[in-house]
Amino acid sequence: MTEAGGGGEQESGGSLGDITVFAAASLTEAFTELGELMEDEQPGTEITFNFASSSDLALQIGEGAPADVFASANPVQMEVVEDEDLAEEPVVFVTNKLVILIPSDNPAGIEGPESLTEPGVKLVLAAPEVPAGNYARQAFEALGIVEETEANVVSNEDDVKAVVAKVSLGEADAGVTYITDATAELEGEVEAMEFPTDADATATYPITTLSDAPNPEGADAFYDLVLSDEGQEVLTSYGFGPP
Amino acid sequence: MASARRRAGGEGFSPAALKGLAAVAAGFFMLPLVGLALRAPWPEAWDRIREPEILEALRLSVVVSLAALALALVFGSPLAWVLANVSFPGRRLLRGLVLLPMVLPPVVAGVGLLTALGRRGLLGGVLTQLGVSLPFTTPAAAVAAAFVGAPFLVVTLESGFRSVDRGLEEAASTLGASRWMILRTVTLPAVRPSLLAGATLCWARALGEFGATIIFAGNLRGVTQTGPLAVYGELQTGDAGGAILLSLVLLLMSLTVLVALRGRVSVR
Repeated sequence: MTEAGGGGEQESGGSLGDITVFAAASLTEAFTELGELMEDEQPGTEITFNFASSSDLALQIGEGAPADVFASANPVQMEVVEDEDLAEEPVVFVTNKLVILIPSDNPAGIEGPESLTEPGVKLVLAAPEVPAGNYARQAFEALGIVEETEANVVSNEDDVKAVVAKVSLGEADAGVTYITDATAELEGEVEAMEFPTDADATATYPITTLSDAPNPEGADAFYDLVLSDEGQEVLTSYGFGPP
Repeated sequence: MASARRRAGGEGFSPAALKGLAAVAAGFFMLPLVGLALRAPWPEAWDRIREPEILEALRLSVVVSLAALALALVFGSPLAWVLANVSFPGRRLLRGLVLLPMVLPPVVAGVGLLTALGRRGLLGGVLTQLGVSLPFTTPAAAVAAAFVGAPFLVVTLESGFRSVDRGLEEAASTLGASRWMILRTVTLPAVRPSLLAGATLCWARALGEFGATIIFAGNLRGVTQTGPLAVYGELQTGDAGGAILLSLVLLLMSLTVLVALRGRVSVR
C-alpha cells in the first residue's frame, strides 16, 4: 500500500506503514480484530501477523526476523528475547485460563482432570517448550497427576492451535488449551472444562516492542493500542482476563 | 532459445553461458548444505548423535521410510503396471490423481488422510470396528510417508513399463510362456532400473516427510517422532546444534543412497 514504513513522519489518523506483529497462536482471533481496528482507524496502515508458538517466535526473533512487536503466551519465551537484548519494555497485558478441551461427543467420557489419568485416553498437549504445553504440565504437577497424564499423551503439538485442531477433528479424546481457544466458530464441536482452582491454571501474556523493529512508530502504536482501554475491551471480549 | 537453435545448427556455440547458469544452480543446491555443515557443533557431534532422542528418531525414520517403501512396492507397482498397460476410461485422470501428492502441500495431505482414515474419517467407522485406530501410531507415520513417497515410484515405474519391448513379451508368449513367467523373466528384468530408481526416490521422499506426518500421525517421541519431526522439535527447544546434526545425518543417509543407487542406474 503506502510507503510510510520506517519513515520519520507520523500524522495522526494517517498511515503508520507496515507493522509486523509476532504473536502467540492463542492470540490469533483477538489480535486479528485489533489489527483490523487499527487498519480502519489509520488508513493505509498494514499489519502483518505471524501467529505461531511463542517458542518458535522467540527463536525467529533471535535469528533476526524483522518483527516490530512480540506478544508471548508466557514470560519464559519473553525472557529468551530479553536475553538477546531485543525486548524494549515487556509488560503483561492479559491473562488466560487453561482448560481441558474435548470433542462435543466426548468419546472418552472425560469429566475433569482426573479422567485424563485413565489408561487409554488419547491426550494431546502442546510440546513442553510451547507455553500451552508448559502450563498444562504445571497444572498436572499441581494436581499430582503428571506421570499418569504423560503416559496418555499421544502427540506433542507445535502450538496450541494444532492441539485445538486435533480435538475439533475428533482424533484426540482431550487436549489442554486456553479458554480463549474455545471460540464461537467451534461451538458445537468442542467443549471446554475448567481446571480446579488448585491447579494454578492461569497464563500470563507479556508484550513488547522490539529494539530492532523496522517500523518503531508502528510498533509503539500497536503496543499502545493493546494496552489501551479499547484494546483491552477487545481482548476481554475474546475471553482474556485482565493482567 | 537462440543459443539452443545455434547449437542445433552445430556451429559456433559456446556453452560458457550454460555452464555459468549451471554453476549458479549447483551453488543454490549446495550452499544450504555448506551452511548447515559450518553451523554444526562438530566438537560435540559424536556425543550428541548418540543421545537417545536422536537415536530414537533415526531408528523410527528408518523403520517408517522402509515401511512406506514396502507399501509403495506392494500397491504402487501394480498400479504402475495398470497405468502403463491397461487402457480404460479415466486413465489420464487417475494418473493425475496419483501425481497429486507430489504437489499437494504435505499439511493438506495430512488433513486429507485424517478425513479419510481418521477416527471420524470416511473409513474411520470401518477401521474402528476392526479395532484399528491409525492416528497417533507408527503405522500412521508410514501411511503418511507412503502417501507422499509412492507417487515417485509409480511415475518412474510406469514409464519403465511403457518402454518394455513388446516384441520380446510377445515372442515369449508365442514360445508358450505363461503370463506370470513373462512378467518374471522378461518384464521385471527390463524395468529393474526404473524400479530401483523409483524405489530410491520414494524412500528418500518418505525419509524427509514432515507435514503430513505431524498432522496425521502426531508427534510423539519413539512412536511418531521421525527424524524431520525431531529436527523441528530440537529447533523449538532452541537447540539449533542438535537440529543441524540430525539434519546432516538424514541428509547423509539420503545422499548415500541416492548417489549409490540412482547414480548407477541412470548411467546404465
